[in-house]
Amino acid sequence: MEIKQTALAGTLESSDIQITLSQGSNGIQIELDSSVEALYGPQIKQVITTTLQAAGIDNTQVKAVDKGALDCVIKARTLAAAQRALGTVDEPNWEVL
Amino acid sequence: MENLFAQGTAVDIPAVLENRDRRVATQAHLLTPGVGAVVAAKLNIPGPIKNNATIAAFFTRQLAAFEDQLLAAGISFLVAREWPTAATGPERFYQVFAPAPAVKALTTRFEESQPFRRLFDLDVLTRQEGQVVGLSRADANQPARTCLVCGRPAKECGRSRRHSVADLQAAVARMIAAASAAEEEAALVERLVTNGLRALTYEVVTWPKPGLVDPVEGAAHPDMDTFMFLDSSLALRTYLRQCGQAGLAAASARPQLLFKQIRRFGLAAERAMFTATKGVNTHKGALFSLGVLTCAYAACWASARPVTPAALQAQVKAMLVDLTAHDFKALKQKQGPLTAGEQQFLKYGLTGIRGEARAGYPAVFEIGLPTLKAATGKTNERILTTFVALARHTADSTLVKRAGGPEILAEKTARFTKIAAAGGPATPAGRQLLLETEADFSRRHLSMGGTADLLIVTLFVGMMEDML
Repeated sequence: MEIKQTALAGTLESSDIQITLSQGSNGIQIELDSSVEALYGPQIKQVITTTLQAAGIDNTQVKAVDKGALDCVIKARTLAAAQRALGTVDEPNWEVL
Repeated sequence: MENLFAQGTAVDIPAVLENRDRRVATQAHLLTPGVGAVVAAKLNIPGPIKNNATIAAFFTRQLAAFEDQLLAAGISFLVAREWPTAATGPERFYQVFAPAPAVKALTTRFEESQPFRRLFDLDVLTRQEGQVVGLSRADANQPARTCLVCGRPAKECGRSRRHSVADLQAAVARMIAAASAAEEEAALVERLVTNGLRALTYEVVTWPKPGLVDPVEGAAHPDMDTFMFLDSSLALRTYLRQCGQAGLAAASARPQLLFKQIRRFGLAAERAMFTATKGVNTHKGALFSLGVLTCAYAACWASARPVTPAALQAQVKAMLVDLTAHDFKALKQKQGPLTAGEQQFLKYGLTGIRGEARAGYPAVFEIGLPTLKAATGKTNERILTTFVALARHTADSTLVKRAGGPEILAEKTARFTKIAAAGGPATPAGRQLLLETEADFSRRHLSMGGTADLLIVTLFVGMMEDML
């Protein structure tokens, strides 16, 4: 499946990861920016790829800015971005909270 | 230590992430024009339990110290938003009206100022070209955060899950316990200062006191009035705090050194007193004794709790062991005018307040405190009853000085014994005799200043024991 719209999830807070998905047609392409890239780059990319595939996405450009997120966080943020990109959930409006 | 993490609601990752989104949105929302920076304050607490009453109290009390630092730096701020009881952890957002780099320097200093403040995460955010950006520790030339348990870079340990949640929680619990110990110390010093000031001011407002100033009558001391005593009392706040802190810090040091240290504070306190009274000696004796007791109490508290009167008295004796020997030995060489106590030692061999102090204030512990404890009625009557008991048993050097010789002591004892025998100040007969004695002492300019000092010390110890 390809995505319908560019979508973003996550923040640049420490222990978080910000995932941006945009349209692509050459499989799952990941551009990763992480302070622990040397040690954990492949593992982070693996978690993102697996999560996107589970959500049914196999063509997308991924921009990931990692601030030391754990795998469970990477998974949750990737899934949220995928759902937004597919138009399955609305973005919450925090300004009104 | 009871388990810090036994209370509280466990949060899952979606809740934490949702809260993080809310935090980021809140930060952007609060960065309005005119606001130099937003400080987002939260705690780094690993594991599923991130808040409970103890954690929230730690957060609030420590942030009060951070706010004091902002105020001291002349930086104004508003608490714009907070969720102190959220299961995801207590958070507070400040709008700060100062340049972001200056704010970052303060937040970093706060985080590094105590080992347990390492649990705080004070993010500083500002706008650059319309974008919300956070100032990193690197911007403030600070090293990256280290792991709570082992000191490696926190991100590495977090990513690899090197430590168990239990180990991380144990580290957090130790830090919060250390913080409460520091807070308890600060609260003790506060209580010592408050009770010291209460004792000083309670003494002066108690009426009628023969030979002393009270709000109604003070002809024995025409150069003083109640207001001057209140001013003089309040001038001793810094001194009492110093004595308390010295006592806490020096629990293991030699007690005599502790006394030498606070004696220096006492000289500054005397100057503060003379400034407040425009040169009148209102509290010289009281400040000596109250300082010693304040310091001794703090030292006892630091080594064993609760502080017993016996332990307090032993500490006082240990601190003052050299007092009479040292002071009176040096008299022959002393330059300048001698004090009343010094003159009386040379003339009559009376050791005065020094002897009383060195013996561990037996008048206070054996007469004053038991009398105060047993005394009933209104506060004024209880204090007067205590005063009469102390007056009977004290060789008051101020009285000897004013009367011009120690013969006055027998008359004094006879008068106060009669007041006690008549039923004490709480009875009409006793009160009448007390009023007559006050009028007589005022006419003869006789002073009971030494007894007043012992009364103040008695009230202070009684207040620490919750008698008043």
